[in-house]
Amino acid sequence: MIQITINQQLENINTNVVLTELLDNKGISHNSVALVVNQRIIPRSQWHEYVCQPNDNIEFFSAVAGG
Amino acid sequence: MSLGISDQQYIQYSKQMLLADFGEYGQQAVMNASVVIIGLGGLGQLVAQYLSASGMKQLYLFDGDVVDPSNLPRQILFDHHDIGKNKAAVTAAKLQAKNADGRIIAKQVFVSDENHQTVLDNYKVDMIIDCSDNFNTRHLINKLAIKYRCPLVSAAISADHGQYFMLIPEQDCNFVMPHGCYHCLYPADTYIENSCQHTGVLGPAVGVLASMQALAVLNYLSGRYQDYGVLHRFDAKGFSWSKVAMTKDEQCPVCQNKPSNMGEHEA
Repeated sequence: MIQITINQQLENINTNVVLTELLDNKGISHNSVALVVNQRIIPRSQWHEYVCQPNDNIEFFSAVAGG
Repeated sequence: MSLGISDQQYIQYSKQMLLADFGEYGQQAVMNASVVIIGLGGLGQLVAQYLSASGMKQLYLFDGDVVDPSNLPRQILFDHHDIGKNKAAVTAAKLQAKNADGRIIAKQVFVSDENHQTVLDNYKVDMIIDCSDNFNTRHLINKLAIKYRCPLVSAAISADHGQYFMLIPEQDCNFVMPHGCYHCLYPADTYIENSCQHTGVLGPAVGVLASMQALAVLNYLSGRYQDYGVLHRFDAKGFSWSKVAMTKDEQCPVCQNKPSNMGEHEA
């Protein structure tokens, strides 16, 4: 297990979890959010490659389009 | 009189020029600048007011929408007499009457692949300001900014969540963007559930984002801006900002293409 922060909440997750699995485990649709790891946007095309690391600070949020 | 600035203009714009790193150079840059504002709703009518009042040379205003009573609490340039009238036309008329120095051109249409060329192909445009209210238009504007190598200032808000960024599509020797674009951030199939129509929004919260856009334009034109490719997120309820780097997607079909492939809109 490793400890990471997801949207400001500490969580323990298994090792070798990629971002797509992280979203799947939370029931979040892949095309509904943007993902940030340690203050950098991770493009959706790279989510299946990025393996969560201990102490990663991960955020996901929705797009807004109103003006 | 100095650098083409008249005595009257010198007095009128003196507070801007008093900023040491803005000065007469910055004012002259503003007075020589032409920008396109797409969308004259909550964001756009405020951005237009600030830029017109700053002495900007030319504003091209795109919007096919008309003023509705529900717009008035946040679109404060408009009043009850404007209801039913085109937003771009009303904005242009009111701002032209207040600011004789600049030229304000209303395009009473929703920007599209078919009509953007009337401005972007025929005139020198220094910046595009995205004040639109829907996802497809935002993708089109992103594509236009990259196609025309034009700096893009974008903001959006829904409920208490605001987002702002500026992109500079200068390209390196491989003809790619130095940072991610809107498509890298939100691919075209991204699902959007938030809009002002469905979730509501408070006028001053919209004003915060509009002020950021206008400030970014003035800072860019005067050489004071450095925060390219950074997404700023605003929590209007918690009064907090956060920012993240907009990483480029190496597979992005919009900004990672060679220039010859940028003409078609996919969103």
